[in-house]
Amino acid sequence: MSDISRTVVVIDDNLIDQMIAQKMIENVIPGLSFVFFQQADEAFKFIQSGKCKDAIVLLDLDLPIFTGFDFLEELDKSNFYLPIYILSVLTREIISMERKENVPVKGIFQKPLSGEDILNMARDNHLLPMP
Amino acid sequence: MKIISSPWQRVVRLGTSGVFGLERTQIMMVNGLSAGMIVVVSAFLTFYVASGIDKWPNWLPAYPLFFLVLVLNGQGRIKAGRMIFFWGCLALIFSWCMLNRRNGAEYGLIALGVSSTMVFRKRRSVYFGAFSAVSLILVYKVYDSIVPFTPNPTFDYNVVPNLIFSAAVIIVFLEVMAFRELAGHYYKKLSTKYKILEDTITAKKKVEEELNVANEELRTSNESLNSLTGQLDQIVKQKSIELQSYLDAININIYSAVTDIQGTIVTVNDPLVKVTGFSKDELVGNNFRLLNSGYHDREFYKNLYRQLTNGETWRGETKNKNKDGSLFWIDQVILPVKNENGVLRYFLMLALPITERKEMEEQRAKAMQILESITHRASHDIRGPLARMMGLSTLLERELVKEDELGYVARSLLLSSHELDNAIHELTAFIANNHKLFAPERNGL
Repeated sequence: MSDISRTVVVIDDNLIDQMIAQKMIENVIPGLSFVFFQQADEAFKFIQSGKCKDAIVLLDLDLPIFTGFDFLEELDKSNFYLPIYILSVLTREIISMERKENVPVKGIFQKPLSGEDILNMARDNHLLPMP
Repeated sequence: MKIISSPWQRVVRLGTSGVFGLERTQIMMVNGLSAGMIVVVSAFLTFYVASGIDKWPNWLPAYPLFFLVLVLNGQGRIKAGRMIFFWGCLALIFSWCMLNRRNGAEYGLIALGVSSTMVFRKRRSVYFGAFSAVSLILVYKVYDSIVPFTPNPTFDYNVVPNLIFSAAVIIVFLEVMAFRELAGHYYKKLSTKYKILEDTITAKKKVEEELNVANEELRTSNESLNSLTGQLDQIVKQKSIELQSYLDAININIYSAVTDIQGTIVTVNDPLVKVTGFSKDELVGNNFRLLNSGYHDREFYKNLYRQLTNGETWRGETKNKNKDGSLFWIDQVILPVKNENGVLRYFLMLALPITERKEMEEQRAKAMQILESITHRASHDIRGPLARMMGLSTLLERELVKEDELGYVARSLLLSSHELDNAIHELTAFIANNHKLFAPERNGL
């Protein structure tokens, strides 16, 4: 079975998008716990607190004040390493153009989150049940 | 060594003032012989008296003769002095021969004959003098052989003739030496003159050769110069035609102006006059700031002026204002012009009109902004609600929505639909407002 202790941190200012992401992931990978943030700076503080050291982060880019790119830069400056997945309405190409090269991102998904995206994320993080 | 004492020198030089060459030598010879004869006669007179020879008065006529010669020469009567000397001597010596035979006076005639070569100027006079002396010797000899000779008891015939002979020899020797000295003197003088002449001729030849070489070089240079001048004329004509073509082209296509270093316009061409809307008279004498649109800041012009005053060419695009306030862009090159001493005097401005290009660039920039805006709207405002609708539909389709959540999902779907609808309307309106920017006839897109 998967590691049910893993937490998914969803950072998105739109509540509908938060719900769609949660339900789609739960459908593929049951047993995960979710933490939701509408503002990236709050999410950054949460991660800095060290409460979820093995969390998986789903990050929207178009956020008010503290954007997804700002979040990535700040995280890069800190010593926290987390698997971060960008989840945006923008295409992968646009995100690749705007994103700074040195900021580590595990994957880029376009909304709405597809089953394949979730499976990729599960494989990357060993969240699927053993055969 | 100076062997002639000063009084002797004065005597020898009697009558030589203003006389040069052979004649001077002859006068000096006559003077010298006269003075010498006075000494010789005095010596013999002394000897005769001392020896008790009764013929001593025979010597006395020599004094007035030789003094007369010196007086005549001293007075400048050279010819008279010369004649008196020779013929007087001849008569005197001959009388000595005849009055006191076999005393050796005939040797004096020989010496006198030799001296004729030095005394007379004309050759025939020399021959005649020498011939006369020889003739008188012969007369004396004949007379002496015919008329019986009675020896003078007071006379020692073993001594006196030998003394007179010796005196005659000395006189001849001195004359020959004088000849030798004279010949040596003239040889040296002539050699020096010949050497100078030879040097002069050599130098002249050298100068002539150098002159010839120089003339030849000059001729060649002249030919080259003429040829070059011809070529230069051709080049100048060709370049003038080219330059005129350039100027014509400039006056058609390019704005040009010349200003002094303060920016005061010195001259402008017609295209620039036309684009500014000012007349030529209004522009010339005015500062180029007259066309300043205010678009560029003070720092821009400071940099421009600094570069030009450093002697560098400035290239850039400027926005200017014409007389009626319309703006026009030019792409200009400004060149600092220095005089022959390297002092900056003028600025030459050449420019191309680029107003249309700049307007097009501005339009393109605006169009790009609009395109970016459309892309942003499409990405966020349209793709956002659409993605949510797709996500919610997927949740419903996969029955991942609980019953109590259905209301929320339905409202979310409706909300997203409205958002999408609004976004599409706004985008449509936005494109409609900016459609002119995309008209192909305006911007070439």
